[in-house]
Amino acid sequence: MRIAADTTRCIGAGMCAFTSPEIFDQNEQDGTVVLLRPEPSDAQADTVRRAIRNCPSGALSLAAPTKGTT
Amino acid sequence: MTDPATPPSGGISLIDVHALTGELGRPAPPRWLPDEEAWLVSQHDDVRTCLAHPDMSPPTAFAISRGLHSPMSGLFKNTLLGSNPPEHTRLRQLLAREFTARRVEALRPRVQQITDTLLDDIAARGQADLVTEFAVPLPVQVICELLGVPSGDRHDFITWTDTMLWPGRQPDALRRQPDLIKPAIEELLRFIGPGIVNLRYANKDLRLGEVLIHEGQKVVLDLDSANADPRVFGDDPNLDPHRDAIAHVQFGHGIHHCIGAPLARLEGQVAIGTIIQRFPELRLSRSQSDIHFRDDTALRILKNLPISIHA
Repeated sequence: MRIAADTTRCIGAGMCAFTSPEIFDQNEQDGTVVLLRPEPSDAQADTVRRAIRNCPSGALSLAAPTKGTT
Repeated sequence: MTDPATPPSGGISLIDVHALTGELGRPAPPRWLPDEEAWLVSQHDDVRTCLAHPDMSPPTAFAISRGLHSPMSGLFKNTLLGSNPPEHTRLRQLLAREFTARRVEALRPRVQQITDTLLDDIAARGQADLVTEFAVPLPVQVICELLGVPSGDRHDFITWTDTMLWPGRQPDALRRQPDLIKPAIEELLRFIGPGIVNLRYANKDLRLGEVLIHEGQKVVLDLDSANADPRVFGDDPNLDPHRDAIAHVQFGHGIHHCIGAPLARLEGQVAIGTIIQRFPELRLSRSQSDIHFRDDTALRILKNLPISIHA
């Protein structure tokens, strides 16, 4: 599982950092999302999906699995 | 009478929530309210879609963008609620850094201190009106002292406390398990938050589920229905601090999601969490029929909450 974050869409509401601070943080300058764990473990899959679902701006999604990306 | 296919002309109007009472509270597909000349949207997914829709605007932003008369358009010009992108994006980014999860969390000790001081006074007297002596001064003091700007959030938790006081709902679970206050505050917001409805205007013709909403039409979003939608929150209608209520729409959704939400949450956690721990015998000091909600606002806000801290 790999998270995709669109920081041009992000409004810095901080819902993801509120619900899943072990995975998401916020940029100090404009509050936009910072991925602490872009590739979360399987055990974190539910909390990641919950954060994606509740992101107000729709800036979060799951990236399509692509071989060779980091 | 306006046919649903006819866009309105002239100004925009806010909504009289009390006139709508009979229509609210039932999650159902979007339907046209002839008397209100507005769409009523009440299912959780539809409400979120409208709140986040790029072709729908809050009333103030809609009025300002079209040069229409609105009761509050003058007040909101050049503000977050009165603007759409790209101005909105610029304004929001300027403010967002003040409300990051980390910045707000750093305020917790001071919010706790202000809470403790206010509750010391109440403890000394044994009784109080929790609205005027606690729920109003706490957020006002926090916002004035720490941010130096006026707050639009101050009503966000004024109503919450009442839920904790009704007979049979004494929050023993929260006393035993203080960490439960975070999900409990989300559940309180879901169950009896201050927002009853939200409004949007269509910037252009758009489809919502089975219906076609025309440019200029008003859309009333029934927040209580959305927050009780069993497809999202399950079938149990009761207040349950163990429920995962984070998907509630009290703070909105989309780019106009309440920027002060993290601070309102923090204040709610500290205020209600502290009251529960500190005053285990808390009870209403008058009968429930003497407790009143304000009728001069579209928000659910208590006028008074007389309590005694002794059994």
